[in-house]
Amino acid sequence: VSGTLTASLVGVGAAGPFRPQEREGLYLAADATLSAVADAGLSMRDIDGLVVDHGGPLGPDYDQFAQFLDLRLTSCLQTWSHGRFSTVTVQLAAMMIAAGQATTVACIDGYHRTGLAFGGSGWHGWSEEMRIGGGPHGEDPMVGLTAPLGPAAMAARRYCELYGVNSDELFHVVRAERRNASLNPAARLQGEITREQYMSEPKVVDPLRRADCAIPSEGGYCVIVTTSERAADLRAAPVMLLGGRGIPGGREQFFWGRPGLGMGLQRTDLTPQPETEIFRQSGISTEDVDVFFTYDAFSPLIWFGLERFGFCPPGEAAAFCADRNLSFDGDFPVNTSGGMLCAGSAAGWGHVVEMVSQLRGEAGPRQVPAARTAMWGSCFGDALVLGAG
Amino acid sequence: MSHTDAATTSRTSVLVDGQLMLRYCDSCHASYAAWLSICSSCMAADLTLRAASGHGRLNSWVVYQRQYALPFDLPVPYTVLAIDLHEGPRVNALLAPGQQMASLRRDLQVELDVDAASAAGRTVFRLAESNEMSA
Repeated sequence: VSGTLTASLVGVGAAGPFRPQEREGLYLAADATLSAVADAGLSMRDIDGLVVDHGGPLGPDYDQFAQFLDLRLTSCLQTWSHGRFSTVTVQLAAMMIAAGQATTVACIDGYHRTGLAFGGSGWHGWSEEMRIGGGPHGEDPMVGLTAPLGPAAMAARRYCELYGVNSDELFHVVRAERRNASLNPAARLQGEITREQYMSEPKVVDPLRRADCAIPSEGGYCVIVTTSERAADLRAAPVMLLGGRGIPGGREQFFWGRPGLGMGLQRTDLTPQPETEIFRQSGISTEDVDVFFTYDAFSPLIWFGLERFGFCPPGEAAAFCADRNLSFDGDFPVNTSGGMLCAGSAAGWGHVVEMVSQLRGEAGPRQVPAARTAMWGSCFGDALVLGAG
Repeated sequence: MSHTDAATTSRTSVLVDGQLMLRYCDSCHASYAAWLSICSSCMAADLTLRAASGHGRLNSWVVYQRQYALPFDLPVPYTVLAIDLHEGPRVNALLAPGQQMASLRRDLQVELDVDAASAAGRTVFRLAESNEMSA
């Protein structure tokens, strides 16, 4: 593909992350949108495009949301997809703008948890989960492989066995995210963690411990995208979209793995190749990334994300995370809000908001000095690259 | 489709009298998890359901220390295996009773435990005796 996306992110708003079932998704999303519009220095009447992530039953549907806020839209779109697709909504907004269908697009999610466990038989996604080819989290409850954590632990074990890695080394990932969260007042998990404390955390699904799992949360999020021309006149320093893509996980991937872990329904012995397309599209290299964000529902996903995008070779992410410092004040900052692991897991939306905050220089005590380029890249291959204006 | 009905077979495998069933393509001889109805190699639509050999190698495993998601709860701790069947498909299975997680390692030969699977109504595998011969 040769297309490039040109747009600016001019407003962000967040309501949460909160403890599950505190508020309805519609209100969470509406609160976040009002905050984002104010953050941009716009009015609600300026919003003429809408991209909704998830929709019901996890959050508000596009029509319900538009009516609730009396939006006057020329273009709207709702996408059901996995939580990691939060960044893809930004790409869709840029496409709307590039195609002349809208000028100022609100990308929203009101991520509300129903109280029923993921991977459980009562969960609304049950039928979806049972579809041919594997469900959203790879669960297989009939043989006890319940909850997203089970498949995540399966992929982590496979990785450790393949590369001779001790899963205790996940401590370095957890330590960094805890440190980041400790300087984020909105983070649900506060306080740093020592190796002793990490080692005493109970193994829930061996080899993963409680501390390797994200804090289930809910929240409303909004990112406002507009043309670069319009962005120049708005309140905050614009953040430029440099590149992005959304792709499905291949059949060779377990959900919670990356290519080469081969945990899909059919055996594949695939040698993983680092991604190059997103770097070509955005005109950067791994060396240019000042702060990296990745989907972190479970701590090993950070290893997998780093390897997928070539920050280190396959099998070396554990050593990379031990040698480098992933904290906001370290030499390779990752998930500076504390991520889903510690700030709270409401799909990947908290990461998008944090990327914008970092590039504006508005991240407060956890600001990465001179952050000019922020990259999102999940182990499943979707990516987003943003640059300071 | 009620939730309970949807779960009478595993996501990755179907059991009939303790035998693990796969779908075979008579056109190109590929085999798939029993859920698939169309061959993704040659697009043939008439896959036939046949019993698998029941032999494979261990890809990965996890040990549940707490229970999730009624009505599937099993007494903890229990071990779930990911197995690459010799025919190609990958299935998940419970480790047979009495076998220890400490003895597991990547690429061990494993085999379907028909009696245990039949009794439990779930896919159950055990370590193959050939592992001891090759060790």
